Amino acid sequence: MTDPTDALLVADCVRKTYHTGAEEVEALRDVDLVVHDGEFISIMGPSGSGKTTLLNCCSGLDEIDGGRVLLDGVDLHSLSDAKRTANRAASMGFIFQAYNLIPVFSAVENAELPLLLAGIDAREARRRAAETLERVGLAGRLKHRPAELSGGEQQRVTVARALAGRPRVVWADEPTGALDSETAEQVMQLLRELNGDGLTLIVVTHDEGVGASANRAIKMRDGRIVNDELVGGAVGGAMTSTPAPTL
Amino acid sequence: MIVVAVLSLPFLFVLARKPILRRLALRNATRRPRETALVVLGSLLGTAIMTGSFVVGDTFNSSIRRTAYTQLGPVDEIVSVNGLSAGPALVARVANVRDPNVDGTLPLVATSASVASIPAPGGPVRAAPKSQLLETDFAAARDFGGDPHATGITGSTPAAGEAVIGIDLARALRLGVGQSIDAFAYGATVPLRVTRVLPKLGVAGYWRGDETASNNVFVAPGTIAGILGRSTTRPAAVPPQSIVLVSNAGGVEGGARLTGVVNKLLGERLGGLAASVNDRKAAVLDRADRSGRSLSRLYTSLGAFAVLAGILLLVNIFFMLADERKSELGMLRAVGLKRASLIGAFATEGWCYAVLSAIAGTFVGLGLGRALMAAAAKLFSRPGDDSGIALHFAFKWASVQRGFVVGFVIAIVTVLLTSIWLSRFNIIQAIRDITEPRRHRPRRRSSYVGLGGAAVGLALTTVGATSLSFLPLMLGPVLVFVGVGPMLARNMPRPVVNTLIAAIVLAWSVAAVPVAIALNINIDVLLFVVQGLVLVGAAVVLTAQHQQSIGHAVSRFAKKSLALRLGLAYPLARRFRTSMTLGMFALVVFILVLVSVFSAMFSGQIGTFTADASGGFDVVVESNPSSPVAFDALAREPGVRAVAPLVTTNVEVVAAAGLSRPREWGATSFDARFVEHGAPKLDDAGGYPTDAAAYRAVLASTDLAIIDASFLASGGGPPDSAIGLGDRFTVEDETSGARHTFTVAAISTPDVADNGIVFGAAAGRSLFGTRAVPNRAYLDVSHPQQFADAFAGRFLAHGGKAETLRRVVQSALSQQQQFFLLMRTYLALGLVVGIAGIGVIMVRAVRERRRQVGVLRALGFQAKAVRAAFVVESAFVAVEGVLIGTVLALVCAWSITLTDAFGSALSFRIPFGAIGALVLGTFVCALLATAAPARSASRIRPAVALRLAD
Repeated sequence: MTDPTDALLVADCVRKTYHTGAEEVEALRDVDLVVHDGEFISIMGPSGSGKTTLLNCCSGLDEIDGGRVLLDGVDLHSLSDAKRTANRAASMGFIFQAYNLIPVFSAVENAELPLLLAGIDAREARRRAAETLERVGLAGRLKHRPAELSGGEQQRVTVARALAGRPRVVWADEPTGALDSETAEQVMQLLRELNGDGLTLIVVTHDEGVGASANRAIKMRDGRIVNDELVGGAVGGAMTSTPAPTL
Repeated sequence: MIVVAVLSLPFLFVLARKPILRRLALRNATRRPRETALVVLGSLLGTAIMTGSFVVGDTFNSSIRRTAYTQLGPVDEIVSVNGLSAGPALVARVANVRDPNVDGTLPLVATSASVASIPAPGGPVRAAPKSQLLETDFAAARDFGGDPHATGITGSTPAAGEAVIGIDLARALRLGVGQSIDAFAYGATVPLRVTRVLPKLGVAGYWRGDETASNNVFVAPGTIAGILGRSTTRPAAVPPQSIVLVSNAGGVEGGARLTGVVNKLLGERLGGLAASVNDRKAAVLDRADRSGRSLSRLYTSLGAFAVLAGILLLVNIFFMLADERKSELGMLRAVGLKRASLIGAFATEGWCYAVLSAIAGTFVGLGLGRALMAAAAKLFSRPGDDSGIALHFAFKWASVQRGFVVGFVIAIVTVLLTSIWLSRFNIIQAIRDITEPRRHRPRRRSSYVGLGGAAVGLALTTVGATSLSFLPLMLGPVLVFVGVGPMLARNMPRPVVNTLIAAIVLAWSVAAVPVAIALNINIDVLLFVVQGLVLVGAAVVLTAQHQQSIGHAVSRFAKKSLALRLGLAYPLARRFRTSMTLGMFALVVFILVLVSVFSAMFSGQIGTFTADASGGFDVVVESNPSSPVAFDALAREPGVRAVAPLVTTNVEVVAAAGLSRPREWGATSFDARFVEHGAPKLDDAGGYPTDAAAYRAVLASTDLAIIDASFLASGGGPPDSAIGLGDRFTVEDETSGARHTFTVAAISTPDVADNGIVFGAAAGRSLFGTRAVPNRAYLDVSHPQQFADAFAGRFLAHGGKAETLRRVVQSALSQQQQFFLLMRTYLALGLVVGIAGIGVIMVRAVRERRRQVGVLRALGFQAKAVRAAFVVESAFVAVEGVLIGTVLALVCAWSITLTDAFGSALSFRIPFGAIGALVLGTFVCALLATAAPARSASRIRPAVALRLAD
């Protein structure tokens, strides 16, 4: 077990239950997780195991029913919605399987969104967004709207959007799920490079290949972490699947 | 209803025999009940407005028809001769007529009189200057027409000194049985004791004039002869009349159908006797039908703006539904659903909405009609005014059915056409949710179709120019410009072509009305609707074409506001949808502002109108025709600077271009004193160099007359016949039956003082003979208001009544203003369509963008920023729509005032207060309508919206 005091993110006994009519589904059962800066973590498991719920709850996108999530020592779920949102804008990036770009915005406008949300000057935000898009290989597609881009290009815009604000951690949910193998490999290569630059990446995936790119692999089943191991050279430090110590 | 059944057949077939399509249609319709309710709400207003318009017509029709029961009952024709001496001859020839078409006859003697209550010591004297004394046999009156209940007559004939009075007079004088009154006629005063009060019904309510009050006093036979015997004054203007009332077979309303036959029969019976036969009942029923139709048309025409706004809303909603289900529709086509089946499923869903909205809209329309008529009842029936219509809410089932059918047909046709349009998509692009690329050059086929349209436009223009008809003249050039568009766009950039054509159409639409007026083309209310529609259409196209530039200009003001950027991004990107919403707002604001501007322009002209109508005089006085005021003596009173006596009465206009049946109209003859003092201003002096020259020419001739622009108009709508300078028309004296033909020499400014047809004294003598004794006068006095206030008390026995001309104008304008207010209230319903529409659109937008809102929230977009973005979006569209509508209406009103269409006195005036309130109100309501969907958007939980569950 590593020292959680210098952890970027600590999930402590997180519980989440979905109510579907009279039925209750325990999506997360007392899950503990410690993430350090610079880690590249893959979360894998069968459908319904709680991977995406873990991502939603740990990033503050969804409420939790028990436990707590600390990001840089701050309890995310004790914050108001506005503060939690501001926290997300300041320190997190997201990549979704379905791209989820804003269709009425161009590639550069989509990419600059997090920068503008962080209060960066419009001109500077545009410059940095363009720069990030260039980095993901979309220098010539800045003014194109999502409908005018291929699936791979759209996903790269999503990556650019997730990175443009220089977040502490990027959450990716099946980032290559909608891509062909060649494009998927390009995107993963890009993510590996970014992780190499110190970015913390947490990727939910079904794809063993994607999982193999990570330094640390977490396996989930029935709302619990059943396995958590280092699979490559850890960049940011060790991990643990044991309950996090009281902070 | 057959139309509804026929149009519904294909959908019923789908529901009965096509299980997949039925499932698709019904499940989509019932999937989100709240949103279905919103769609139905948005669509029902069209039906409500149409039904409301028809109900307004029904109410006016029915209210005027009530006159047939209350003031005539069994009376179909009135046969009369002047004086009492000719009475026996008349009765001998007509009263004993035996014919299967005639139910009965009733001899009667009548004279106009003034009646006053005899007050208790210290109490006020109350007077009814316009009353009549009647003598008839009550037993015969009860038997008249075969239905005693329709005559209103009860009890025995009054004895000498007794009076049986009508309920209207009892109310006006606030008296009852046992109290006393004085009746004044021919310079004599008769004290009478009230023994009975009769209802306003049939013979008891018998009244021949335009007034809706029946101030009747039934007196003992011989009383009128006694009054004449005691008369101390010179011959009165109107002698008593010997009358025989005739009832046709067939009940109160049905009898009027036999009027033609009975008139002929009466003519034969009268032989050479100089008597007048007046088919009053048929005239009342005809007036009821005409006014009902005219008002229905007026309301339906103006309501068309709101209906069109409703259609745009429906199209918008269907486009949103199709957009949301794009992938689903693509999949259905991919798995083998034919395009026709897809149209069937979509249109069947729309059919469900159309049926529901038409049913709900019909009921809402009934409520709307009732509310409108409750407001109008106060407007048309004012205390102390005997001429207003007593409105009673009524509707025919046929009108309700018509409202339902029109609403349903509009909805179903819109739905069907939209479904056909929406079904033309590329399957793969739909499945993958890819925007279909815009075609840069129109197809060759579009060019040919456009050129065909242009050719039709050219033909219409030619027809319009040669036949001086406004509709083809207005629409022809528009079709030409729009028709050449596709051909031009094949060789020029499309934005340039669209901008050019929209600008030209806009300019032509503004210019069309002044051009038409300059060419003396008659302009109908419906044509303002067409003009408004074309104007708004062109302006919306122009705006849509430059939406990006407008958006960029707006965003410059708030560069850092992401909410603003996001709020503007959607309307700017979805031009078609934005245009539909813009059109919806612009249409209703256009007509509302136009009516407000006209209302302000009229109300602002009180000084001008007073000066125009007064002709240098200050006061107009009236007196009872049986005992007129001695105006010559009045002229010698201190403070009276000038008196212009007039003879005013009603005549029948029996022949005029386009006149379908005789119309009763006011008529006034004047002498030189009227002209010497100035005379009311003329709007068009014809070929005469000055107004005075025109009046002198009319005075010198027995064949010339002056009319105003509303001559032969009815019910607030356009005149039945367009009579202008140089046209001829024939009038008949209702009392003597004498006829006279006039030529229109000049057109006066609006006839606010109710002079009617104005002609010289010589023509008056020729028409009215010895009865051409002045009963009205224009006076120039030093203290007009004081003079007017004291006049009635001083000339009680003469039925004296005086009003300052300023007050007369004020009263006419006030009624007009209230009518405008009523119109605006009605038209404001269009705003309800617009505001409900924006609410519906925003609710759908939230549903459609749920996922995107989730992403934004995940990225760090605050909830309040999401809310603000939706508010900005609706505010932007509302402001643009309101601006387009307002600017177009102002330009349109201004262009009309460049002509003299509504008189030269009317000058352009912007009612800043009214427009400001309208603009602000619309804006605030649009924001309020967005509040709920915006709040719901801000509450979207990102994880739920993104559907990130495993």
